[in-house]
Amino acid sequence: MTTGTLHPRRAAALRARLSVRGASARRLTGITMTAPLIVVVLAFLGWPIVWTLALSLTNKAITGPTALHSSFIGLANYKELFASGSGLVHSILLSLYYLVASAYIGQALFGFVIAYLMRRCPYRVRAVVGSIIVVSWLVPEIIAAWMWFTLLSDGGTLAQALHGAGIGYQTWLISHPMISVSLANSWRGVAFSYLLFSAALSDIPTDLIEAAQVDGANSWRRLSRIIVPMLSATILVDLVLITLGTLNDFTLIFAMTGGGPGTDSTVLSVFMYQQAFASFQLAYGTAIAVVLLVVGAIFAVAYIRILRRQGALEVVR
Amino acid sequence: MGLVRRNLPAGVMSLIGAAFLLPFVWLVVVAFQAHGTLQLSGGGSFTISHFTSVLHGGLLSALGNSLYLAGGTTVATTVIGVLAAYPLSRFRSRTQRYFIYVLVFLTGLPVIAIIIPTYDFFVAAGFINSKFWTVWFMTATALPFGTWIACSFIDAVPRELEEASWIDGMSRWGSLLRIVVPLIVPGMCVVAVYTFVNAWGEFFIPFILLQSQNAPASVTMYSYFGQYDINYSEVAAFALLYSLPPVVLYLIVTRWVGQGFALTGAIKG
Repeated sequence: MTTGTLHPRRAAALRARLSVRGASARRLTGITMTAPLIVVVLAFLGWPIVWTLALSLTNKAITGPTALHSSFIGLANYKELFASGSGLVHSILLSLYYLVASAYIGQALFGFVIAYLMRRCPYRVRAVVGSIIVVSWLVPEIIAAWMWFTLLSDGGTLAQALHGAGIGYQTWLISHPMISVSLANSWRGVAFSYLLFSAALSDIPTDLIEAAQVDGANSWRRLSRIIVPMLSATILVDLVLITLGTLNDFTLIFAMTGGGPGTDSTVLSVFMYQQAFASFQLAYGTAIAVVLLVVGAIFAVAYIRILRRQGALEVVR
Repeated sequence: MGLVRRNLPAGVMSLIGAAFLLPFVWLVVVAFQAHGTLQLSGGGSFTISHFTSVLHGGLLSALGNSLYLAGGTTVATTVIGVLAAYPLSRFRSRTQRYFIYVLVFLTGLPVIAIIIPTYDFFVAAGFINSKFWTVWFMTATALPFGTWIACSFIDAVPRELEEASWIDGMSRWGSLLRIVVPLIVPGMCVVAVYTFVNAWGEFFIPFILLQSQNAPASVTMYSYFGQYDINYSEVAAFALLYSLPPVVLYLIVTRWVGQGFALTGAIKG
């Protein structure tokens, strides 16, 4: 380092002097530096969020007379949405299925198992298998969707292989659309949880586990009594983040099944798209978006609370 | 018995690894075959003609559009994010703390939920089908997380280094550019690569906001779904070329920044 460091006491005195003399100058600098962020985020995130709420109270459509001259219709969109037979409950249940099957089991649990097993693998296995898993995550989502679409299509490689293994021949994307997309999403997303867990596992001191081993704890007890409790913070963060990610997921399902057959895989995000852009009911689609926003906001607040409790939001100095 | 037990994890992981590799096998094999089909088959003549035809044909412009969107988003996010992260990391105040909360909150908000008003706004403002304005929307979605990680990297730079420069009369801007930025280059690369990988793979935003000649590779790729008379080999070659940049960038950055690629580290806090 070429810059000399100061004696701590002199530094403290200097800091005090600077903060008194330069308080307003400092504020000006702070505002100038954050201004671009504030402008971009307000214009392209803040405004659309407010506009989502406003639009959902109108009858705006993409085409037709109400495209140009929409009017305020109060909560009519919500009434229609929450009425039975609107498809909302069906979509929420499918989103929950997708969340549990592909995110909680396919990514979090499976990611933990992988991270746990990897610790006992020789370096070469770790490096090769770890890279394959991470590459599955890095590939653009639409490519992941296409790979699984072709594998499971009529005549696709995996469809044929499963048939060869004695499972009745079927077009998986039509006979089991939710299983198909959940499989694809687990394959694609497991790397995130795996990376998070393997970083946390390597932070656990090995002597702690060895001590438990000496005391006679078998591997199941070491896992359930020491490792999992020590990882509880990471597990919580992982669950919140993959919940948000899965809720926000549209591409994989939309590309692989289009929400079909019928509405058999129309999760919330696809439901919103179909109403707003395929049925041209822009405002009605926005009401579904508000439901998504509210669920997302609840989990985002939970995330902030968890991070605050961990002290992760305090500036380190 | 002991030997089996000891090698069991490695055996299981090798199987899992092989299963994860499976989807890639079809893609890679078919891309190099003259006439690949859905059904994986050996044989067929080996050729790289599909790659050259992608690079000479109209698909190149789709990749160019992806580069425009991802490159623009990355540059804007990194510059704006680091700039804002500096006062957020250095100036202690209540405002600063709430600012961080808002950023984390926005990180978690589902972007797909605000696409409809954004579409509405883009149509009204005449921004629809404009790559330039799409970049700004994508930047806004990438900024909360990018700024937050940049913050944690600036936190790690000791204040004492800057204080010495202030005595010599350097301004805040000076110490940010001359002292902090050079020290957080690896952190900036993490922000940049993370943003680039996400923006490069983004499908939904350009699918809604951009059309035909402005569509990136992800949207072009979508047009191949459910078409059964396509040349699978050529699409596979295109898919491979499109998948390459994120993988290469990730490998370079992990090599350079080190094994603890701070993506997950930053999230952990």
